[in-house]
Amino acid sequence: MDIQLKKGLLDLMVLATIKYEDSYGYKIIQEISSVMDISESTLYPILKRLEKQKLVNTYNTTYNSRIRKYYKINKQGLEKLKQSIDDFDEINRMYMYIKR
Amino acid sequence: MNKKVFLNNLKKELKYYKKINSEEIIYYYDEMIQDAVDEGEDENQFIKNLGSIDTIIANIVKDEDFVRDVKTSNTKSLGNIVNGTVRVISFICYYFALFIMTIVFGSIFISGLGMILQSGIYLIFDNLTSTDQWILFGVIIMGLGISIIGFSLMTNIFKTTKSFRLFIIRKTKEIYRKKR
Repeated sequence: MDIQLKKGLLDLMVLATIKYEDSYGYKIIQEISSVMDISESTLYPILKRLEKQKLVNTYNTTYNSRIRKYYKINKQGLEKLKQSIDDFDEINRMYMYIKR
Repeated sequence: MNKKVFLNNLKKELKYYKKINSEEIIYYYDEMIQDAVDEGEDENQFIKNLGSIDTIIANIVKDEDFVRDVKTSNTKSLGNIVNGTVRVISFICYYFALFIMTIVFGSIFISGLGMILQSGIYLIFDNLTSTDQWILFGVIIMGLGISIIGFSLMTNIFKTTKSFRLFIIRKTKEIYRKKR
């Protein structure tokens, strides 16, 4: 798949993963890998990017007496997700046109 | 490779990249490995599946470049260019001076060694009066002193250029990665 396209999709995949429940690195990978291939080294830049773009907030909690970083989607993140779904509707119409 | 070795190697490699927040990355992988182990995965196998440290860093660098490119585009004003040129020229002058100094100190070191060697040969192979022998002995001591001075000056220069050498290594690695 085209790299730029995949990059954009992965951002959305991560946002969708934490849409209903805050999550952490390992769990996010477990969930996404059921749909598409993602490695640990790919996820880090994505999380970093989402954080920089202020689409997610982060907080630390203690688990098994160690620190775990959780990612929480915020208002802008939800908006971005909603907007992308509208985009997909448009892409889908284009896809149907290409495919006919 | 276990977690400790892996994180250590990663930290060592990340040192070459000033712009990357290496501490954050170490935390990320530390947490990831511990979570995997808690879920019953084999530590060594999991680390093996993470891929090579080179790939890990390449993924980060690619993205940092991406973010930086977006940030710095359209900021090439005249002031920046002049500033950049001046910086490059002074940079070159500085390292040229250091280079010359290394050569000078190196030759001091070598000439000291030469004095020791020459006097040593005279002492061993020539039939000399005891006065001459004492003089040559003095020359050897002098040679020793000169070579020590040359050597320590040279090592000091090497210490000063440590950041420069790290910079060269970093750049070479970057070029190598881009080529691949």
